[in-house]
Amino acid sequence: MECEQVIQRLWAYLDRELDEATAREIEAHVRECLHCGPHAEFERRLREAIRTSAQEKAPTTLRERLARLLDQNPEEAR
Amino acid sequence: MSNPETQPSAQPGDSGKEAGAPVDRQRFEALAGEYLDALYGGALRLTRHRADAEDLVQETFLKAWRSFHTYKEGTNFRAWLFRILMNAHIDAYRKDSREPEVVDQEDVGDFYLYDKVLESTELAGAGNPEALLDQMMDTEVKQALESLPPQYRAPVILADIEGFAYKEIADTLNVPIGTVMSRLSRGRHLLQKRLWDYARTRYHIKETGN
Ligand SMILES: [Zn+2]
Repeated sequence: MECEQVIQRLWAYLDRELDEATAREIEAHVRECLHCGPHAEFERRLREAIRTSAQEKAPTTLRERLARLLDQNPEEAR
Repeated sequence: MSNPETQPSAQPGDSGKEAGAPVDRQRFEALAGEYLDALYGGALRLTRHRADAEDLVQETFLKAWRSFHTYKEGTNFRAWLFRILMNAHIDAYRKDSREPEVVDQEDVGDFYLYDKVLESTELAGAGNPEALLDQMMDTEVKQALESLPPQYRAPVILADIEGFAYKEIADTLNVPIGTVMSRLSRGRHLLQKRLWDYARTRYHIKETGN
C-alpha cells in the first residue's frame, strides 16, 4: 500500500473499522513509515486528549435523585 | 411505546413469575450506575449546561428503567443507554429552537491540526508536534467540542469519547452508517479547526492565510 492510501484509511484504521487483513497491512506500514507513522501517532494522541479532557463525574446529588426516582417508580410503571 | 408482553425474557435466576422486581432493580442499578458518569458526560457535552444535563440523564434513566425488560441480555448495555439518551435529547431539541442552524464552511483534511503544526514556524522548531497536544487544556477541548453544531457533535462524542463503532453510532442516532461517517468526519475536521484556533491564540501565531 502506498502512503496516500494509508493516510486515506488512517481514521478508519484507528477507529478499528477495517477488515483484519487491511488493518494489519496498515499497522505494518505505519510502524515503518516516517511519513504515516507520525500522522498516526499525532492522531492517536489527539483522540486520547479529547477523550480524557471530556471525562466527567456525575454529581452525587444526581445519583441520589436517581435512586429516589426508582423508589417512586417501582415496576407497576412497566 | 414498548410492549412488555412481547418480550421473550428468559433471565437466569428468574422465578418465572413477574415478581422479580427487586432483582431487576438491583441489576438495573448496578448496570446503569456503572455508566452514569459516561451518560452525564455525554449529556453535558450535548446540552452544554449542567442543569439540562442532569435533567437529560434523569429522563434517560427513567426511560431505561421503564423499558429495561426490552433490553436483550448479552447486548451492549452502554450502547442501549446511549440510544435512549440520544433519543431523549433529540426529542427535547425538536421542541426547542435555541440551537443555531448550521452554516456550512469550507472543509479541511483529516490531519488539519497536524499539518498546521508542521507548517507553523513557531511550533515546528519545538521538534515534536505532540507538544501542542500536551499544552492543550481540558477546558479548551470541552469548549471546542461544545461549539460543534449538534448533528456533528453527537457522532464525535459517541466515537471519540465513548469509543462506539460506526454501526453502533448509526443505531444510536437512527441514521445510515454513511451519514455517521460523513458527520463524524465533518465534526472531527471542525473540532481540529477550533483546537487550532485556541493553539494559535496560545502561541501567538498569526494567521498565514490558508
Ligand atoms: Zn507511509
